[in-house]
Amino acid sequence: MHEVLMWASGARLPIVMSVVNRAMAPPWSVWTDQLDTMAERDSGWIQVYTQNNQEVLDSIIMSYKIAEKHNILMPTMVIEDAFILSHTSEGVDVPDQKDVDDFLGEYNPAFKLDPDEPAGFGSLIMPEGPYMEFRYKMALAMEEARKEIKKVVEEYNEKFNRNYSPFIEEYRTEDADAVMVVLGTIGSTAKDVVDRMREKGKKVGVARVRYFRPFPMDEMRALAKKTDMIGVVDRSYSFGPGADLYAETKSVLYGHANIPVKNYVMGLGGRDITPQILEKVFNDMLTIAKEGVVDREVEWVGLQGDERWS
Amino acid sequence: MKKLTIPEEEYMLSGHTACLGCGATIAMRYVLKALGKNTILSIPACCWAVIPGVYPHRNLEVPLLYTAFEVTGAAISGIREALDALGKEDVNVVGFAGDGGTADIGLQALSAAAERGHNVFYIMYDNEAYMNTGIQRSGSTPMGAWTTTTPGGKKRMYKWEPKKNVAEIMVAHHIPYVATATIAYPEDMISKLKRAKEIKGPKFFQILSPCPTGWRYSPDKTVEVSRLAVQTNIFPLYEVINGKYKISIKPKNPKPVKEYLRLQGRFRHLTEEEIAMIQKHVDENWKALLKKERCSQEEE
Repeated sequence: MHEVLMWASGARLPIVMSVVNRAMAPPWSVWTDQLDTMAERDSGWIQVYTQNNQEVLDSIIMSYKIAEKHNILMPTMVIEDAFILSHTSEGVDVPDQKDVDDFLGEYNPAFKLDPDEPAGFGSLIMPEGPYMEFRYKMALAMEEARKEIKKVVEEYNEKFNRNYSPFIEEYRTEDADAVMVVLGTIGSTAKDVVDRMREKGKKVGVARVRYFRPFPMDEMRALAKKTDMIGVVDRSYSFGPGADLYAETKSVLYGHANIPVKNYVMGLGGRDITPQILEKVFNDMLTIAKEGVVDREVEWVGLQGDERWS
Repeated sequence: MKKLTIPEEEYMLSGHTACLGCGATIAMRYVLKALGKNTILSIPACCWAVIPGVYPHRNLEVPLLYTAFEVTGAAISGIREALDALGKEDVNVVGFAGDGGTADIGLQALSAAAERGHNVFYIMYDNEAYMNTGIQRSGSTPMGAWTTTTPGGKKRMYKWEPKKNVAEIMVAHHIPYVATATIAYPEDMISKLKRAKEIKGPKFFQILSPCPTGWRYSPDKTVEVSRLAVQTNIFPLYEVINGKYKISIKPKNPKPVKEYLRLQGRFRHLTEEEIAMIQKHVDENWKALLKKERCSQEEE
């Protein structure tokens, strides 16, 4: 799949693809793990990570509108956690076809294969040709997508009575000592744990990142100003300086916020992320917030035989 | 039989970047002459990914979508369905791929497109190796050939496996039209393409396209090599319409395959015994083809 994803984005085809995020084999696993899509973060696709089936449905509609704008023309992955969303059912509100048609408008392709106006797409290009300029235009379109996403999400909220935050859904972060940054379905479990901990007087919050591409730089920097510590939960691992969400979060904070950031790698291959284990992670985060020192930058949580998290 | 002339219209312009004497270029020229202006092409990685020219130049007067090596079958399926959705059923959709992109890398996508029954042309221009990347062996490289990945040496590591018979693989998909053709017989090729144009469903062509660079012969011999392939029965011309075989040319006195082999440097290492082995193989395949023609016609 990797190679053809590049052909789609390079051709500036506004494809909207629903992706069920499964763990990569071997060994065989059909359960959730975000490496499936994280490994494609550089493929030139817009990536939106969803929390529930309603958000999957709504995001698909919104994604067409964003992707097909002629100043964007970037394909989009609507990403759902395997099994948790893909193999369970949940009631959803399906908007009326007419309302959706009105919202989306007519599809007007920017490029056409037309015998009356023959053109070639994707031909050989020499190093002195505009390959680099084509890439630069994709980079500009990805930047432009930030404005378009904000506009379209606000319009959709208004028209269909929803309440999506364009880039990061923040939950009880305003006065939080520590904030957990997550993707996908972990968000709903984490929000529940925050409520329970708040009852015990522990000031914690959650920030669920929706768009990973384009990465919400300004929103992440604003978040860091509200809290003393950020713990990033990744349901995938990259064999670099920690997992992807962590590495990018830390990277955008450099020079903007001087707070401890720690990576918690958990739930790989669909291993359950329970409220109990998230509470332990929150407590670890609060200790770091208080002491101002990160014990280790990347920690794998919930490994078999690791008594710290069991 | 009515005399068929080659259409005058040109949809392949001069100024391409192919090697001197390129058979694949002649194949494209005739294909476009036969199918005409109302044609959309998709080309994967192969010699023809380079031949149209470097951006922004292009020597083809029809729309062209370049794709990855393995996806020609999928690309033409998508183009076809999109055109049909728009009511443009009169546009020919043509996948034009080399033997590597057909017999090896793109076989799965081709098989899937054939099985789904899309109304498309798939044209395999067969130059019998990965020529664009430097003459590496493909599944369609013939028995006994030298390539850069079957370089011979003391252990005589040439390509000893038989050439994969892609036309027969396509016949096994029960598609309405399968044909072989080669550039030395343009009227045969064009009449087949025109016949296929009237048939709805997947249409597969295997066009033997001699390659002076990879086959190691002088560029002025391309048509001669192509003709000898038919006259020696090593590459028979036939068509299969709805399962019925019809051999297009039956040489009265087939020439020994040695005449074909000896013209080409890629076979120059072959011993008399090895040539006899190839001859035996050619004879058996020819006999089998005659049988298929007889059996499929008898069923009527």
